[in-house]
Amino acid sequence: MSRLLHSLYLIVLFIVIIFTILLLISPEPVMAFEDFVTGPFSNIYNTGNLFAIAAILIICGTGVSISFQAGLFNLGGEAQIYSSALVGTLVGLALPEGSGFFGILVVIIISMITGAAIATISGFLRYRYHIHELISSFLLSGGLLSLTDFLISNTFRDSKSFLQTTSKLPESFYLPSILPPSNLTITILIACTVACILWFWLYKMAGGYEMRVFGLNKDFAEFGNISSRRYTILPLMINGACFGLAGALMILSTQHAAIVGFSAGYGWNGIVIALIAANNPIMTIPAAFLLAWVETGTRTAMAGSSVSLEMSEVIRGMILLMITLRFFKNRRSRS
Amino acid sequence: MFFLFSGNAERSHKITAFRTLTFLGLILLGVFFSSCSKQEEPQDSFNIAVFVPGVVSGSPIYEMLAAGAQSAAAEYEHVNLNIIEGGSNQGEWEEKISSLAATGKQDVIITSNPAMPGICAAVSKKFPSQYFIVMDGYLEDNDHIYTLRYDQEQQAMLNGHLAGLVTSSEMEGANDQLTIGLIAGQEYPDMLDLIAPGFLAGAKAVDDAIELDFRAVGNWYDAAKGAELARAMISAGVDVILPIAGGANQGVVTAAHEAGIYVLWFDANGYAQQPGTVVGSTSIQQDTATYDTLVKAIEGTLPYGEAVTLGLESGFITFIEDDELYTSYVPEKVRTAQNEYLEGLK
Repeated sequence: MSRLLHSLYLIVLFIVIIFTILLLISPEPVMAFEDFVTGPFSNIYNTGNLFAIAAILIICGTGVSISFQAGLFNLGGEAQIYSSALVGTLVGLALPEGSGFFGILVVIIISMITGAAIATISGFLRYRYHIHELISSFLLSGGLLSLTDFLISNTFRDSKSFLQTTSKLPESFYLPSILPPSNLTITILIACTVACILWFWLYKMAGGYEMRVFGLNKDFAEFGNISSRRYTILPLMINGACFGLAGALMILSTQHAAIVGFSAGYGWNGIVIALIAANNPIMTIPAAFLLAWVETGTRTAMAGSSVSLEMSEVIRGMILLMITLRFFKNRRSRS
Repeated sequence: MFFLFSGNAERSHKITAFRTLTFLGLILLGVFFSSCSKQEEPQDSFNIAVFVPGVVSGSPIYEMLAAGAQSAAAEYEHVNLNIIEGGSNQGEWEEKISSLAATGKQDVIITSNPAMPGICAAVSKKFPSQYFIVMDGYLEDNDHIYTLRYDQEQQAMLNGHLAGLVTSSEMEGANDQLTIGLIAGQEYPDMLDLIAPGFLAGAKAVDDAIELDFRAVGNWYDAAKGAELARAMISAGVDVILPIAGGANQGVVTAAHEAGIYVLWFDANGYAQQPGTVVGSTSIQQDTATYDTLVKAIEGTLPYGEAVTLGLESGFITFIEDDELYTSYVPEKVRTAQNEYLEGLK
C-alpha cells in the first residue's frame, strides 16, 4: 500500500511540476501539457517509439539493478553501451551481407562480451587492488567514450555520409519490426525476457540469494563461505553484458549504424530506472515505461508547440531530480 | 506538497490515496475535455515546421533559416510556424523529424543541412505523404522533397582567392611561406569534394605555388580543439585560416589573434568576430532563399522533386566588400585584386 502510494505521489508530483514549468516557459501551456501527456499515444509512431525506448531502458535498468543488489556501483554504463555497440556494428559489417539471424546473434553476443569485459575490468580492480569500482568504472568510461567517438569519426567513418557515422549494416541484420513505421522491434520481448530471467535468478536461485546476501553484508557473506571474488566480479559482468545487449539492440533495431553519441544518456538512465524500481528487475518494466513516457512526451511537446530543446531537458531533469529525492527519502527511512 | 509528509497510519494512507487519485482523475478529465473542446483548425490553415538540426542561436545559417521562415509566415494569416531544435545528437535527428511527420499536421517540414536530404528521404519512405524542403542540401528525383543548395565551390573559391592574396601580400601578419589553412568541423563529402578543392583553386589563381593545410576538428563545437589545430597550423607556417567548424571557429579566431595571423569567414558576415584578424567574409543569403522558397510552398507553386543550385550570379552568395572593417584593415591593393576576381566569376 505504502509503495503504491509513493508511486501515486510521484505521478501527481510529475504532473504538477511539468505543468508549472510549461506554464512558465511555453506560450501555450495547456496545449504543450496535453502534448506531453497524451502525445506519446496520439499516433502509432509515437506509441511504438515509447515501447522501443522502454525496451532499451528495461535492459539497462535490469543490469544496473543486479550490480546495485550486490552493493556495487557501475557508473560506466555510457561507455559500456556505446563501445560495445561500435564493436558489434564492426563485427556485423565484417560478416557476409546475408548473414540474417546468425549475423544478428553474433552481433548481440559480441556486444555483450565487450560490455561485460569493460565492466569486469572495474570488478577485477575492486577485488584485486581495492580500487573502488565507482571511480574506476566512471574514469574508464570517460576514456572509452572519447576513444569510441574518435574511432567512429575517423578510423571507421563512412566517408560517403554527411553524418559522423560508420557504414550502415545490411538489411538482413535489421530486427523484425512490430509497429511500422515506428522503431519498435522485437526488442521489447527480449527486454521483458531478460528482466524475468534475471529476476528469477536473483530471487529464486541460490546464486542470486548469495549475491544479495553479499550485497547486504560482505562480512556476513564471507562468514557464510560466499565467494567475495565471484560476487564482486559477476554482478558487474552481468551489468556490462546487459549494457552491451542494449547497445547491440539499439543498432540492430533503430540506428543500423554506430553514429557519434547515439546512445548518450542511456547509461545514466539505467541507473535512474534501477533506483525507481528499487533494484527489482521486474519493477524495471513499469519504471522504464514511466521514463520512456517522459522521453516521448518531451519530444511530442517539442514537436507540437514551442517548447525549446533546452526546456525539454529542464523538464526531464526536474523529473529525474524528483525521483532521486524520493530514493533518498526511502533510503533514510530504511536506515 | 502536504501529501509527501503524511503519517504512516493505514487510515491516513487511504485518505491521501483517495485525494491523490481524485486529483489525478481531475487532471486527466481536464486534459480529456480540453482536447474534446479544442476547435478543429480551419481547413485552409497551412502548417510549417522548421526542423533545426542543432540549435538556432550561435549558428548563423540556422538563424537565417529561422528568420526567413518567420518573415514568410508573418505575411500570411493562415500560416502557422513551429520551430523545432533537434539538438546535436545526430543519431536522434531521423527519429525527431519522423515524429514531426507522424503528427500528420505539417503541410511542409523545412530543414537545412547537407546531411538532411538523406534523412528526409528515409523519413519520406515511412511517411510518403509528407512534403520536405531542404536548404543547403542536394537530392534529386524525390517528388516530395525540394532541395536548394548554394554553390559552395564558388564560395570557397572566393575565400581561397583572398587567402592567396593575403599569404602572398606584404600584410603585417603574413609570412614568406605560401601555405593557407582550412579547418573543418569534420570531413564530409561536400567539404572534401567542393569546399577544400575550391578553396585551393581560388588561392592557386593568385599563385600556383600556394599549398593547402587541411585539418578536421572531429566535431562542430570543440573550441579548444579548434584553437589547438590552429596553433599547430601556425607553427607549420600558415598565416591565413578559413575555419568552417561551427562553435570551434571561436577557438581558431582566438589562436589566430594571439599569433597575429589572419582568419577568413564563411556563410555569414564575420568581420566583427575579431576586427583586424578576420579580414575576409563570404556570406550566403539563406534568409532570403528560405523566404522565397516558403512563399512558393505556401502559394502551392513549389516544384517538389527539383534540386536547385544557387551560384554567384543569383546573388545568393556574396563576398562582403562594403564592411568598414574590411576596407580599414585590408590594403587597397588586395581589395582591388579580390574585386576583380569577384567580378570575373560572376
